[in-house]
Amino acid sequence: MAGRADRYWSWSMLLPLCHLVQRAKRRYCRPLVFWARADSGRFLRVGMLIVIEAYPYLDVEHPADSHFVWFMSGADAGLLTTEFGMSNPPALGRVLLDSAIVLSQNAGLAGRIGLHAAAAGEDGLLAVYDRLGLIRLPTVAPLPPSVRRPNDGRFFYADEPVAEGLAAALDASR
Amino acid sequence: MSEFMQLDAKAPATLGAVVEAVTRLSTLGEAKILELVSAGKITDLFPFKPAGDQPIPSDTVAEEELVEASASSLNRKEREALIQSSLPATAPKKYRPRTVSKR
Repeated sequence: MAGRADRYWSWSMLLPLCHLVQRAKRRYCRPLVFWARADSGRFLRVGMLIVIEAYPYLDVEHPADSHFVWFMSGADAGLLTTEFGMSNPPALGRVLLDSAIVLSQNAGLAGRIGLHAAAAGEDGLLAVYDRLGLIRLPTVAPLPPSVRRPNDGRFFYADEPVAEGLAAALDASR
Repeated sequence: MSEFMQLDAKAPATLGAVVEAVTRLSTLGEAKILELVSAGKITDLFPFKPAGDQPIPSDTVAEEELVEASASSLNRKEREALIQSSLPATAPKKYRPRTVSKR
């Protein structure tokens, strides 16, 4: 837990904060809660996601809108097994990203998504997003002006082919 | 900005403080806010405290209790409802007796 970027995230506070801050910017947040079936047959809350709709696409070479994954958190698979009786926990990172991609596709944004890996997650979090198949924005790449932050090399995105590939890989489970 | 007006002016945080905080935070980029939240510093900037009398929900639910989220974009009315549901409960409206229409 100590190395996790989400260790201080308070969702009851985050939800109004995200809604209000984005509303002030004339954008909308879409919060989602994820549930998975434990061995008991009951469903356990295992993941949460806050996506900003219609956010500037991080690849400025192709100006467009995308969905931005602002906050994303999945329960630790080992903990789900040992403490919550879930012998076959889902690959939550993959499922959470897939949901953002599907929302983007259904909004007419061709699955384009972007995110920033919190510095608190250190190199481990960068490796997670690499493994999930996202494209890492080069440190020298400019960011859209409204992102208002220097590129620290921790931005990731999915372009249309990557998004399509990631979504197609889970089609059998839908 | 009507959501701000729905916040209780006295609790759990003052309306003015929340509006000021949101105004300030909206000048920051999303990545900066993510860093502040992840560093546990957001409470210094956003003086919002969830109402303390909310019951802690159960860890587990039965399948029939789950509500499936729409995979499509929400319409404006659904978005507004979502935002309102994340804010503190509003004070009950004062009772106003219905009057007959003037003819």
